[in-house]
Amino acid sequence: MTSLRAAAAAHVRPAWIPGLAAIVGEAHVLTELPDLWVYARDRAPYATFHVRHANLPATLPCAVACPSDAAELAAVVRFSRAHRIPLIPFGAGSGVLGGALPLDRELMVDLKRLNTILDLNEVDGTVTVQAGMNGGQFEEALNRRGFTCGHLPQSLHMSTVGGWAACRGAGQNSTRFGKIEDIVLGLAAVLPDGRELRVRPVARRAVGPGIKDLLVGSEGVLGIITELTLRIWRLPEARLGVVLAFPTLQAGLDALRTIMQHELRPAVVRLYDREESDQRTQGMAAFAARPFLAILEFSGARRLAELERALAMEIIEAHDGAQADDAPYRHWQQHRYESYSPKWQHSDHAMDTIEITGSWSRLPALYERIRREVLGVCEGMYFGTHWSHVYPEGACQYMTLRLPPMPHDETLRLHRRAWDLAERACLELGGSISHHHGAGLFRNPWLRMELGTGLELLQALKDHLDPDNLFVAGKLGLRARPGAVDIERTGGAS
Amino acid sequence: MSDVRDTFRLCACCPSPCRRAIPADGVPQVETVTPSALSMIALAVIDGALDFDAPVQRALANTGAAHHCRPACTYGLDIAGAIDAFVADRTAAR
Repeated sequence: MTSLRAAAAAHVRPAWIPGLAAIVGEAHVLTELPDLWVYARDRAPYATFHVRHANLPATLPCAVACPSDAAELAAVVRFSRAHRIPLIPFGAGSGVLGGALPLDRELMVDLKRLNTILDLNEVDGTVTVQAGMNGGQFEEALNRRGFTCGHLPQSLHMSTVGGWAACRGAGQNSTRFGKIEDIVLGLAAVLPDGRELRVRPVARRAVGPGIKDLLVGSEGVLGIITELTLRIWRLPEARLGVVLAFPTLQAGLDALRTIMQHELRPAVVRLYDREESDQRTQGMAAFAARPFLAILEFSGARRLAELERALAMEIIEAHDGAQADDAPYRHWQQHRYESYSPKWQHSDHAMDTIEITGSWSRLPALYERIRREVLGVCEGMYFGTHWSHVYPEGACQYMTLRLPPMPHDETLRLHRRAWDLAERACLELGGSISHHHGAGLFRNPWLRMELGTGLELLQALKDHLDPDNLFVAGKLGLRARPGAVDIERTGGAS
Repeated sequence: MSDVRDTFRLCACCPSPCRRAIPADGVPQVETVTPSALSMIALAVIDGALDFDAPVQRALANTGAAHHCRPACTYGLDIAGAIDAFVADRTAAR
């Protein structure tokens, strides 16, 4: 690992900076060390562990460019190609898999100046927005017009709209409104040769495979999203929360599966394991005999939401579930956009989350195995899980790990070990290694097993579009640049 | 210095939901002006990883956007104020 001071001593201002400044303006090119330091990390816990020790997660970027619009961005891309400068698009840096970490002194291209809603079509129920707009500001602007995007991730206020699409994210209401790939109708992007790719927004089309899906989830490796057209919805008349207590985890899982397979449409579905239930239900009598907590929310027209809630309650009662006081729902609502634990950060614990997708038939085994193996990584390890983002076929299993304080190198090694156990178990039990955080850098070791021959298709496409491997190289399981930092070698891989 | 360091460390490692309070125009739309980034720089100064030199002083002087974030801090922190005080202390000590 490299200390900031050592990297700073080796830093050389690139000779091509005036050329870049001629495109975006001198004020919009950052080259000073403090700027480079703050763009050297994203919100991957792996990066935070390093920053806590004033170490670089990988390398410093060589500079930061901040284009004002898609045309300037395209010019920056053409400039980077002409000068063989690797680059990484940067929204709010809220990714948690290292997708925005510079590995080879890349040029960071900050998209936050592209932050305007271009069109809101109330007839079609669509909004067209630039990629760098803050998610919280975007949703607030829609709310002022009586609409919601329906995409409300925990990271709403700390992320950009383009970032949601680039990493194929999910909001907490995805069970009703879908993941972002279901919400994106059209987009514009800049390809690695500077050309614009535009997918016109239409409800559906049948003209070959979906081109938009080459960008939604591409994490920038195939192009930089500049603009998105998204489906929007009228703000609901009613939001009806329900807090439930189940006697066993299996009863809770079975109830959720049945609700989805009976075509009900809860906006929010959350079922917690015993560890996470206990934290949220202390002192609540309803949970003495039924210790597993679930939270559901039905929304929309009041009469319809009430009917769906009533139908769901019939299913819940058939699975020995019972309604409880709504305090956990209110607490969740109040804190739904917070993901940070100052207490554990302060005490040098190492926290992370892993979200995977499993089928209903495999989820119980998947949970039990990962729980057992991760808890065995070291004494004092915390492991808690909830299931949200629920489908007729399966669900997202969202796991929180927390390693106790220990020497930095040991933290990195055991953190990686826990990830390896979870991802391998997921693959062996037929799941997907990521539900909505994306792959970034940190999931590289398991991409081959996840995608199989599909990874070769992605690499072939990447090689064609980006023959010099300049766009976000070494991420999403794709080929790294020669000489780039390899965190599997330097970052404490097991 | 320990309390100040703890505050900057807490903020530097925070995922920065307060950034939603930064106006979409009128302030630089760059990472460096966020409270979390300012804290990351100040923390590096305190830990000896960055010098309190001209580039650092320029970065830490840019607290306009961070002042907008104060009401949006989940933890009730005034990072912009803490940065201004930190710069004043360091400048006075030179």
